[in-house]
Amino acid sequence: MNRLLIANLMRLKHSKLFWAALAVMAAVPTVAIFSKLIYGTNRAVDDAMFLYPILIGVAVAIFIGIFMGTEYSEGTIRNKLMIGHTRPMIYLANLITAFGAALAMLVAYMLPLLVLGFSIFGTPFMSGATFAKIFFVSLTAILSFCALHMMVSMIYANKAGASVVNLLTAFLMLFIASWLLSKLSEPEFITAYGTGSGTELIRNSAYLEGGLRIFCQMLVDLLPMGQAMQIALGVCDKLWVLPIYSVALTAVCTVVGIAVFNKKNIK
Amino acid sequence: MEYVLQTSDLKKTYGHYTALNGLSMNVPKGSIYGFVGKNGSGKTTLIRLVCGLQQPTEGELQIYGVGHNDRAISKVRRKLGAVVETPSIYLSMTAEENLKEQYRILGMPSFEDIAELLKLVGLENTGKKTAKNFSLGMRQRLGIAIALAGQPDFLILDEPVNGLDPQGIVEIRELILKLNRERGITVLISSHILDELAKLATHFGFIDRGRVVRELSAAELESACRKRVEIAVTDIKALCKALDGFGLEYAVTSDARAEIYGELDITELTLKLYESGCRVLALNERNEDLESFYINLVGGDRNEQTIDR
Repeated sequence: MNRLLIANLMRLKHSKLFWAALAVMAAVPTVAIFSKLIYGTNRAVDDAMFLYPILIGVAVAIFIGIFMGTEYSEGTIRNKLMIGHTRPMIYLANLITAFGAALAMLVAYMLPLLVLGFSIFGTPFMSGATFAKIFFVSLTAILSFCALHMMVSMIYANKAGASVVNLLTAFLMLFIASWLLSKLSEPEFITAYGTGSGTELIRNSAYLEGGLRIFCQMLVDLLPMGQAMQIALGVCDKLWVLPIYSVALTAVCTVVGIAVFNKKNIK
Repeated sequence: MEYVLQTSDLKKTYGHYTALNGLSMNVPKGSIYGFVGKNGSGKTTLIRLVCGLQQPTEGELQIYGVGHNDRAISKVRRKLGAVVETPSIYLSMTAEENLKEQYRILGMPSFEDIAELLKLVGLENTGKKTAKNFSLGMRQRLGIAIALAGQPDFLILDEPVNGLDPQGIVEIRELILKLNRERGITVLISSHILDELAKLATHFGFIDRGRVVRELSAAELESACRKRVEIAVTDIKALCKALDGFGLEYAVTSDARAEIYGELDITELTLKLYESGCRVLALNERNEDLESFYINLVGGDRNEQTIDR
């Protein structure tokens, strides 16, 4: 496993795609800080602090598809198998590498935010404990992103195909999560304008109730992009639930991925 | 005889398609084993099974006596190096970087052998040129260098000269011979370029429709292919007596036919047989090469049907 990890990390070092992803991740908070500086606000650091899970979710979809797909397209995965590395070890080493790359993207995002943001706007309003809790939840969400995209990339031995599937999955999750969150954020009562004094509250027909509300909330909590959006928007009531879903999704994806990869005919 | 690779009744199916259909073969240690077969006959499928890229559907495969289901097979595969179809190289890396990557995967303690390995395959002057800018021959040689990185005892090369120019073919041939003679590496080469194999191989295995139809050594093949005259006569005993009298080597193939080897004076033989009251019914001169031997073995009519998988 160590040998595979070292080899993967050295390949990561040579990867232009990886460095490009880091550059983009660093550029986003830098631009956000300067735009806030222009428009004038003192919450710039807090506002930009937890946007990274969404960005990393999209970035790792592309990165994992291409980086791991190269092993198939250039046939180099055969070099690992032929000299006796077991398939579960190859899979896990790739997953750890992908998570490591995602963490590097996180550092690339945080560095300009902390250096520029803190020096321009001062320390954030958020307490240290709150930051630590949300940061931990975001890490588990990033892990589940990696596990999901890794499963696709290790099962589908086509670099372009796997990258497209990963990207579509990321955007589909983004679309579904946005829609679900907008539905869940509907108020239970709305003001009935044009009746009586104009301040009478009536039931909102768009408000989700009962089992449907529980199902939609569960779905948005389960989807890594749903978690990322809740973290970014700060709309999660039960933060402690999210890591449980993330770990469960990671475990399921990894077990399924390894089981299929174990049986896979490599050409 | 000690064998590096043995397979017994090996089968591999993909859905309804049977790629290997009870394949049995033996690769002797120290040999250059030419694995001959048309496209779609199962050569690459067998190599994929040997390398652990795929699992057999039925049958057994042993590398250095260790079965493919044995847990120890992972360790045994460390003695193996292979180039399957296309060289497995990172195109964005240089030759040296590719080898360093393979050394890391192997867990080699240092990179000091890399320069020697690059020199061995003739890539010592490629510098910072990445593999995507290499010629086909250079990529093939880099693939072989990667296969040699773990200092294997058994090298598997799948169609190593496919697409190479004449100079590249000669270089690969010389490299294989050097590895076999100087390092004692057993080599399994699959190919359908028979002339090239004939210059290299010490043993041959002929595969057709997923089965090895014949295995023989180069000496046996030479004997089977050498110049001979096939003769059909009315009295086989008279023929044998005459041939013994001339001191010629021959083999009786039926009660009216024989094959005579070496230089033959047909007039003298015919007169001698005439004196014994034996008539010559037919006379054919045969001079088979590897190609005609192979065609005879697998059937020329079916040879047109090629299946690429």
